Amino acid sequence: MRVGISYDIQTTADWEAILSDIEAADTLGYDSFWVSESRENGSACSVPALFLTSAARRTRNIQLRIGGRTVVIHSAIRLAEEVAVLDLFSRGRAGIAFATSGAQSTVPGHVHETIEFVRSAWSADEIRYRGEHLRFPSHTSDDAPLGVSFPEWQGDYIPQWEWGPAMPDFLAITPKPYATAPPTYVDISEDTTLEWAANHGVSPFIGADMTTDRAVERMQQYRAVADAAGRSRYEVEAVLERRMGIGSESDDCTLGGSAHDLVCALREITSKASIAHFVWRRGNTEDGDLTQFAVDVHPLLQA
Amino acid sequence: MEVVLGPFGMQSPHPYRRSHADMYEDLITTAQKAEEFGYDGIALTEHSFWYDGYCPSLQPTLASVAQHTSRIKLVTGALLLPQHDPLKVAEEAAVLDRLSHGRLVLGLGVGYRPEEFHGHGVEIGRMGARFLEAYEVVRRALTQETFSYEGEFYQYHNVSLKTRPWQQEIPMWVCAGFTEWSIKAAARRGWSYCTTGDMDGGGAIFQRYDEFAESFGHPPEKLKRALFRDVFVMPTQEEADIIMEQDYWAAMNDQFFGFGFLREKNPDGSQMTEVPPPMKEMMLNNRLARPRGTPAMVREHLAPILDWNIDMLIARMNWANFTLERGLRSAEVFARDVMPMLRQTTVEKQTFEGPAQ
Repeated sequence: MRVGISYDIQTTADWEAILSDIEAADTLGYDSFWVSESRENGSACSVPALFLTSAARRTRNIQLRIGGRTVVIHSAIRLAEEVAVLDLFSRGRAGIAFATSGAQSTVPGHVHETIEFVRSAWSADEIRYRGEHLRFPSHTSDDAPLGVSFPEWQGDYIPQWEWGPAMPDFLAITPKPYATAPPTYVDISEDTTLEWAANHGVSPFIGADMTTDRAVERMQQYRAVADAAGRSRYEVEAVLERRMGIGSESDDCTLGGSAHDLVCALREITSKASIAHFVWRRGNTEDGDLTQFAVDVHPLLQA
Repeated sequence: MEVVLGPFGMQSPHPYRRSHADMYEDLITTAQKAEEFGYDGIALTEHSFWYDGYCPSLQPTLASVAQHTSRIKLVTGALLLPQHDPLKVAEEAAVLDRLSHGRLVLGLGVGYRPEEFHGHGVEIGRMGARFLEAYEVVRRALTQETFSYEGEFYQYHNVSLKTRPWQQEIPMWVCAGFTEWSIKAAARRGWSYCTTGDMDGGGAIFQRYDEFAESFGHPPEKLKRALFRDVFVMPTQEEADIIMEQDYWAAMNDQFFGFGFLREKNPDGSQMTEVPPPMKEMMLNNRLARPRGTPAMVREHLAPILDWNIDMLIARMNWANFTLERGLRSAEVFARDVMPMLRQTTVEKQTFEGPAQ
């Protein structure tokens, strides 16, 4: 089982302390580090891809995950490019989780189209995309097929450096990421997106604010839809973010108690909801002891 | 005069294919060496949708450079602003400036490749007007706690960037070539101007810039000027010439056509794929605009720019086909044998005329 950490970065003014924590987490064997997009206050990070790219060469193994990425404010094309650069700098450790449509005042289809586009852009060469919210290139006409499409063989090949001035119907996002396609997750709090993600092999993510019981229920629903659609479990990685603390009180959203209690709770959730990756949501760099958790809890999750 | 090394694009062109992950790692090495050699900054350049993986994402890339250097400035040279959302550019700039403790320099350009405008969904026909608006949006977002803007392309009402940059005012440059409209537009607004120069190297451009600025009521001595200059230093002229012909030209020839600079057709109507000999000669052997050779030769041809009151020189000596070692070798020799001339003159001018404002 993988274990990562995430920060409520908006409550932590000292970014250097967070970067130091990423290094410590990398050394201690944590599997992932997540930074969410936020514009709440001056400490928040509105561009997590940039923040994580700054950490890429300071770490060796830890996965660097963008959380809560919105699609309404910024271009899907730029998103594909910036994640590719993060993936190159980190040699294949980039990943991205998208926010619900409700969290950004758009419709679910907008999120789904963006995910479909970026995954295609990373894994294929020249592509074209026609959707309700996204067209790539922008002059793609209404008679292009819906969704992603690829060029047909024209009987000859002319390399791009010999095109001259051109307005091609298909373009390639470059450079390509280090991995074939960085892992992509979406928040499944909304029914439409849960259904869509389960049917399309997009990994489910549930954040720290949903109660544990409700999160288990949602993950079970996701799995049922995916099973019905014939999708295999190995296609996706279910991620659950929780507030956790050795010695702290448990509540609807927090896992507490002794290290043994914590392990039991995590194991129980795993068996009920097929969770493959827990993310410890930390309020700030003083919130719990990274080393203690790594020593007392990690081994029991791996065993 | 500040001397900046670059710009780097992390390209893997067909005559010299490499791993992009290795190139991003090499960039960190280069930046650290640039700092060690005494350069004032490192610059990156961007393009999208180019087959060799030309870097499309400058500020995230500079964020990694920031973590592995401590002094040098981080320069976008240039970020093609009309192809971006200006508010996102400002957001990234604020975060990067904070992460680098105030080392960001924003060079902003217009762009010209049709594929990029179509790919990013921006009308190419109005790119100049869009650039001017976007530049002003970035400027306001980074300098005002709350700003509004009402333009043809961008409208914002009481918007605040929550993350504030480290610097009170991030240096911003209009990075353009030698077109009259861009020189005039920058001078009209009192914006700093960075040029790639022309056949004569750029002196006439700065003269036009000053004349325009004066006519718009901006004292020229208060404006900032920067120059991109192709340079390359080798112990012998013959060595430099061979490298230029074999390695520099192979990549440049591709970009001339692929980027749409040359539109000539062959008699059969097919796209011409070889640059006409006079243009190749000009690109390779115009010593004034592109001094490449021994340190003495480069010093001689750079000397005139000392009279142009330039604030920043971006010494472009790495090309897509160059190995890391070759680029670093030139950068080191340039820093050792050419930069002192640029520094010494700055000190002398300060002694003579008083500190630069």
